[in-house]
This record gives sequence, C-alpha cells and structure tokens, in this order.
Amino acid sequence: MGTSEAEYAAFEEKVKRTVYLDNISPQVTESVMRTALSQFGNVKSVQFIPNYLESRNIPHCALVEMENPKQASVIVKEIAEFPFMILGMPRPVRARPAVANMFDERPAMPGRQIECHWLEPEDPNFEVAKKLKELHGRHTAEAAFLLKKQLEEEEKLAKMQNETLKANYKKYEMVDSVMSDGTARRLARRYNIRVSDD
Amino acid sequence: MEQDTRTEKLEFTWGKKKGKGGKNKDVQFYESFTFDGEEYTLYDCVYLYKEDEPEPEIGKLIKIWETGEKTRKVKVLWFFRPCEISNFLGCEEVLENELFLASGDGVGLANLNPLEAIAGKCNVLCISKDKENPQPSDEELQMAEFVFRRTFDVGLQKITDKIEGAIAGIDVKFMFNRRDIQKPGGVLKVDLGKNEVCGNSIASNETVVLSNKNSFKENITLETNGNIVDSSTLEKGDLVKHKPSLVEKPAYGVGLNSNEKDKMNEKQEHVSNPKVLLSSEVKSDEGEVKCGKVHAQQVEVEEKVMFTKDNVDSDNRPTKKAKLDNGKGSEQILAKVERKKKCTNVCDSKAKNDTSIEVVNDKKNSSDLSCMNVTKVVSPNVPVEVDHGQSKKPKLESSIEVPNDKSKSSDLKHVNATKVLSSSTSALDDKSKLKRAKDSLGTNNALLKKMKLDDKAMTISEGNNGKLPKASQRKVKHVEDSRGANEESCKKIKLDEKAMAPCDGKLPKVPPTQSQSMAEKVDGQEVTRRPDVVTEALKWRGRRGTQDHAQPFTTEWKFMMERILVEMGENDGDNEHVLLIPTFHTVLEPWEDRIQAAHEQGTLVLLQNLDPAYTSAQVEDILWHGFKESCTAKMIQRTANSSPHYGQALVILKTREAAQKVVRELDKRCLLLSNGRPLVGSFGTPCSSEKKAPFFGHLTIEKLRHQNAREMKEAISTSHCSQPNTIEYDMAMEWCLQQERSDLLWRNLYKVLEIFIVI
Repeated sequence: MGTSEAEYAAFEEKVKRTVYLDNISPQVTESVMRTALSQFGNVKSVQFIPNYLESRNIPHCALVEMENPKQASVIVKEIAEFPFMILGMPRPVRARPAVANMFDERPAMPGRQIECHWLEPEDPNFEVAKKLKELHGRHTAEAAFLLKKQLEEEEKLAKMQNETLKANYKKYEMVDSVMSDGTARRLARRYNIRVSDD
Repeated sequence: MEQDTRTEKLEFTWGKKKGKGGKNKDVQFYESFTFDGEEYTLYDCVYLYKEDEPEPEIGKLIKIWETGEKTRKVKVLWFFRPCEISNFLGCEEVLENELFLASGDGVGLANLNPLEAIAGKCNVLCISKDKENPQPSDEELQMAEFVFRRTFDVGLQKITDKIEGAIAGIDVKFMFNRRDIQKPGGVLKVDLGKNEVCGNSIASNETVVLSNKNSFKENITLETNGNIVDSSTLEKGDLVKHKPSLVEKPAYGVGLNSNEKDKMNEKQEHVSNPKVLLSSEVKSDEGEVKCGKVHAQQVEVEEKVMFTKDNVDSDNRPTKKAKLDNGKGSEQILAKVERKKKCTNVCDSKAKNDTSIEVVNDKKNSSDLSCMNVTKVVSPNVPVEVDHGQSKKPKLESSIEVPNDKSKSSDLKHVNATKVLSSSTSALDDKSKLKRAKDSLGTNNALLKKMKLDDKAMTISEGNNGKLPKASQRKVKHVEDSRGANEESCKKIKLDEKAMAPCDGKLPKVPPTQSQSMAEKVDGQEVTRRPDVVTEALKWRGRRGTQDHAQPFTTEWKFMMERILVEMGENDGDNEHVLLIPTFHTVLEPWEDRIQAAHEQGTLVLLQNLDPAYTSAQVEDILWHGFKESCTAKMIQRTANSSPHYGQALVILKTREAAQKVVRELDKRCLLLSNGRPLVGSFGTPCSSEKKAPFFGHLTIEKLRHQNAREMKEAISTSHCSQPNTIEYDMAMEWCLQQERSDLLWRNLYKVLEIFIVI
C-alpha cells in the first residue's frame, strides 16, 4: 500500500507544521485566530478541536497549520517566552507542537493491523480484563476530578485577579480624583511640597 | 584544608598512565583511577558536588592528571540540566531525565576541578540516533539515571540536535555510549564491534584480532597459500559451522579499521547485509544437511571472512598491496562460486552469488577505485554465463555510484538500494524468487527517483527495468505494481530519449519461454495470499482509505460488502484480523447535531480504553468485527489534558437496540483489543451546548465595559504580547504559573496511571 504510506508521510509533515493552542476563549473565531497568528507567518488552516464530552465549557483548543514547520516552532517559542493574549486579558494562550492524535481526519498508520477478539468468561484472562476495565473507570474518574480541580483553580485565580484589578482601578481613580478636585494641591501647599510638574 | 583531611581518609590509587605534559614534563596524565572504592576511567560521567548547590552537577571526565605539586585534577565537560538552560529551550520537548551536553566555545563548557570534588559515578546514556552511537537496550535505558541526545552550544546559546565534530577538543565518539556496556547478542553485536572503535581506537585492533581467534588465523593461511584452499576449507568449514558468530565479528572488524568516518558507516551497513545473508545461508544449509554443499558454502563463508580481513589489511597497508590482495581474494571467490554452481542447485548458487557479490561490493567501497579494477580483472577471468556477465556489469556500475552517493549525503539507503539492485539483477537472471524482484523494483524505483544517473547508469536501470517485469509478469498483481513503479521512475527522472525508448519498449514484452517454467515454479512457492474475497476486501479497504469518506457508495459496492460480510461471518475466527466494515458516511450534518440527535434516540455510545492512535475508520472496523453492527465513529481528538494512554470515541449506531446491545455486551463480556486492553463502552452524553459557562481569566473593568464593547466591534481582533511592566503582565505570569502547575499535575497523574497500566 504505497499510497497510504505516502499519505501518512504527508500527514506527518502536516503535523510538524501545526501548532496546538489552548486556553483560548470560546469567543475566538477562526478569523480572529488567523489575524492573531498571521504575524508569525502564513496561517494555512485553523481547526478548533471540538469538545463533545466535557459537560463544562472548558477553554477551547485549536490546531493551527502554518506554512512550514519553522513558523510553527517560532510560534511555540514566542508564545512560551511572552504571554500572548488573544481577545482578552490577562489569560494568555498556550502553544505546543501538535501531536498526530490531535487530528480529526488522519490516515491510519500504515502497516498496522488491528486485532480484536472476544474473551469468554471461562478464559483465565477474563478476570484480568475485568480488572482492567475497572481500572480504566477509576482512571477516567481521576482524570475528570483533576480537570474539575483545574477549572476550579482557574476560576479562583480569575476571581482573585479580578479583585486585584478592581482595587488597582480604584486606586487609580482615587489618585485621579485627588488630582482633579484640587485636594492634592491643597495638601501640597500645606506641607510645602511642589506637586506640579512645571 | 578540610577537604584534604577527608580525602586522606578515602582510598585512592592511580590507574593506567597516559602520558606526560606540562612545561617541565611534571604533569602526569592518567586514564583511570580508583577513588573511594570506585574505579573511574576517562569519559566516565560523574557527579560533582558544589558547596551551596542543592543538586549535584553532572559532567564527563575528559582529562585526568596530577601536577608537579601532587594535586590531582580533572577536566570536566559539563552536562546541563534542562532547568539550567530553560531560557534557551523554547518549545523543545525535553525528556524527563534528559541532559544536554555542553558544546561550542565559551564559559560553561568545561572546568578544571580538584579530583576530590567527584562525588560518585553517574549513569548517563547517550540516546542519540547517530549511527556511531551504539543504541542502548531497553533495560539499560531503565537503569540509566540520565540520558542525553542533544548538545547545548554555550557560545551560540543554542540547542543542537546533532552531536558531531569535536567537543572541547575531544572527538564526539567518546561522548557516545561505550561498547562494554553492550551485551553481546543479536544485532547488538554490530554495536559491539563498532564501539570498540569509538572508545579506544588503539585498543580496538587488538581486541578484534583477539576475538576472532583461530578462525581468523586460518584464514590468513588460506590467503597466503592460495591454492591449498580446498583442503583447508574443509577444516574451516567445520569451524565456521561451530561458530557462526565468530564469522560475524570479523565482519564488523572491517568497519573498525577504516578511519574515515562516513566510509566506516557505509561499510558497516554493507557488511551487515552479507552477514544476514550469510547466517541464513548457514542455517538453510544445516537444514539440508548435504555435506558437500555445506562445505562448499562454508568455503564461501570463509572467503568472506577472508575478505573482510583483506579489507582490514587494505586499510593498513598501502593501497597497491591491498589491490593485490583483493584481487586474489575475489578471484578465488568467483572461481569458487562457479564451481559451486555446478554442484549445487540453482537456488543455492543464487544465494551464494548474492553474497559474494556483496562482498565484492563491500570491497569496492572500502578501497574505492582500485577495487573496481580488481573486479574488472576478475570478471573476464571467470567463465560465466552470458546472463552473469550482464549482471555483473550493472553491479560494477552501481558500485561506481556508491562513492558519488557518499559524497552527496552518505545516505545509506541509497547505497543499499544500489546494492540490492545489483544483487537482484543476478538473482533475476537465475530466476530467483519473485519477492526479490519486487523488492528490487521498489529500491530500483527509489534509486531512480533519487539519483540523477548519468548515461552509464541509465543503461543499467534500463536493463533492470526490462528484466524485472519480465519475471514478475507471472503474477498479475505484481505486474501492476512493477509497471506502476517503472512508469513512475520514468516519469520522475528526465531520461534521455535513448534510455527511454528501450525502457518502454521492453515493458510489455512477453517473457521468454525459457524462464517461464522456472518463474511459475517460484510462483507456486511465493503466493501466500489467495485471491479470494479477503484480498478483495483488502483492496477495497485500501481504496476506501485513499479516497476517504467522500466516496459515493454504489450498489455494486454494497453488494460487494454484503458478500464479504457473509464470507466473514462464515470463517470468523476468534483472532481474525479486522478487515473491513461497511460505513455510511453519506450523512454530512455537523457532528454536534448528529451526536445530539443520536443521544436523544439513545444510539450514542462512548467507547473508551481504545488505543489513542486508532482512527475513526478503525474504530468502525472494530465495532463491525465485534458486533456486526455498522456505525459511524469519531475518535475524540486529543488535547493537552487528555490521557496519552486512553483513546475515546463516540459511536453512533443504527438503532437503539444495537446501542444497548453494544453497551451490554461490553459490560458483560470483554472485547480485547490488539494492545491487550478490553474495550469499555457506555452510553454517551454529549455536553449540552446551550449552557455556556463563562470563560475565566479575561477581565474587564465594569465601568469601561460599554466603551470597550464599542471598540471591540470596531476592531476585528485583539492579540498582543504582554510587556513586562504592566499589571497585565503580572497577571499573565500568574496564569502561566497556573498553567504550568496544572500541566505538571496532569503529567504526574498520567505517569502514576501509566504504572498501573503497565502492571
């Protein structure tokens, strides 16, 4: 199957050209993404990874295919170095090189054959398989818990930052008002301090 | 002085001396020493403790000496931990226990340290894929405390993927793994031989000779005596029989002695090939237990050993002499091949032919042009059939190309391709197995594509193209393949008109009747696949793969599927490969809607515990195989947070009953997948798209919101990198921290879970 191998090779090339971005706001659309990343190179395609399972609206992820692997790696590097924000502050997006399994339409790995068979209850491995199933259930539960925890943490952080921001804003407003209504000047006169810039 | 008192307590002895240096020749260099009960040798990796550093530094000893004042010093080439150079890492993926070797020029490359600073040995493995680096085994990797595959250039402050040239004045071959940790056995032996060169080039000659023991010596006598071959080979035949491994070792010795690096690689590649052939030959012969033949073949084996020996010599001696030796050797070989051909059957001689040719090729590579002369001299000497004359000629040509190739990129594949080509031409002439023909076709093709052949080379390919399909036309399928290949090759290269014509002309030619019977015989052995429904199904599957889901399914196709299904149902073994399933991708609604609809109808099933590498089509196959239910599946795409071990897929089945059946069956019984994991199924519940939870982390100031909203409408998008003097930047940093933290959590979780899975 020469064609499928070639196809897979082409696909692997594509993977190398692609950047995986997450922590994206749901408001970000494809065009936003394109404009945001076009400063790093030519964006060939943008594909958001749909989220079918998690009940919550977790931050979006996207695969952005660039023109060549170099541009992709530049994006990953730049975004790792400087917090990069798309459509909102201060939560930065995060970029990583894409992995084959992230892609939706991907060719099967050539030379791989899938086998599957039923295990009957009398089979000695049946119990093992049962255990494995249980284990899998536990693992998924653990992963789900971690995800929940992570979202909670993020929420907490966001709330905290919101508080700081508000406080900061209040501070600046107060400084502004003190300056504008003449309080500062009056105080300065009293304490004999020069305030004016002139 | 505290250190001194401490070291006095510790046991210390010098090991092997190396040489003297320094101004007054008062500096004594050493190769090894024993310190605190541990023996250290040059190029060992060690821990070095520094005061006030929590983690020990790791370095490689590249010089050990004692000064005139009796102070013991070591020069240490540093390894960097990823955290030390994190600023320069960027997006590079770093293995958990990966280190970076310092390279380039600048501060931080290497240091002089008191020998007493060494805190212990550190097991650092090189996992560079470099051909010169003996690849560590899995167990070794398990045991290794650290691994490295890349270097960090301290001058350029850059990560380099390749380890090459010299680092701190030391040839990189000393940076690679040492051969003595390798276990002898299987392929590793290759490394074994190779390493010896890498490690201590002076010692390597000795060790090789030692390891070759008697068989080698006898070969030498054979070489010198020339004519007594017959009697001595009989003895030697036995010898070789007993220790085929011995024969292998010298073969690697060839590579050892060539000092030029790329040449060495090439040769090792070459040598490895005949070895494979060689061992298989020996095996097959033992199976046959025909004494005469066994001997004859072992003579051949001996010859090869001798040849490698020749090569060894040729590197040491002036080329003239090498030429002589080689000439003699090849003459003998070819003569013997001839003799053998007479007494053995076609198959054997063919195999021998191959090997001998390869030896010749090897030699050619090793001593370049001089060897070509040799072979030229040889071929007229031998009374060969016409076919063989032909086959040898291309061989010659192809080997001419090898040097070109080498200079171009030392791409081993090319070289191999040429070699396979040459060997298979002869094989073809002998009406050898079709498989070979096929292989060579492929390689031939690759070769043609990749190399710009000159006219001379063209004639070879021409010849091959003509010949190959001749043999393979016996099989319809193969003909298709080969023709495709040939045509492709024709297309890809700009052939001269001259070359083009014969190529095309020969293709459709009917094979000569003479070869027909043989070819047919071969056919009988080769065809393992029956041209039944299963293969057809395979074909279908292949086609489906290439054309993707957009393919409209005709009634013909459906009929076909039906038939296959019946067939499959009949001979449905327990462990049969999943071959195909019918799928109906005609519906093209967005998945979200379809999932929602399926969920409402109760036909949505979530499959878990799949291999994440499966594709949607493969999941469909599995479900078809397991339940005889057709469905549409969708692998859930991986994200940064999803498990690297568990794949998930959403599957929409045709009916609610089918979905219930699947879930029930998966719960009660176990459908084991090829990775040994049972499939887990449950009813899927898609996330409701109506309820949109807020996205945390994007803050706005209430009062400014209205103003902002207007701005937002005007601007298409806003994206920027944050500057480090704003509150925004501080907050962004907090987010980065948060992201890293959760990332670490995920990674740790999956690592822990992985342990479970492995157990």
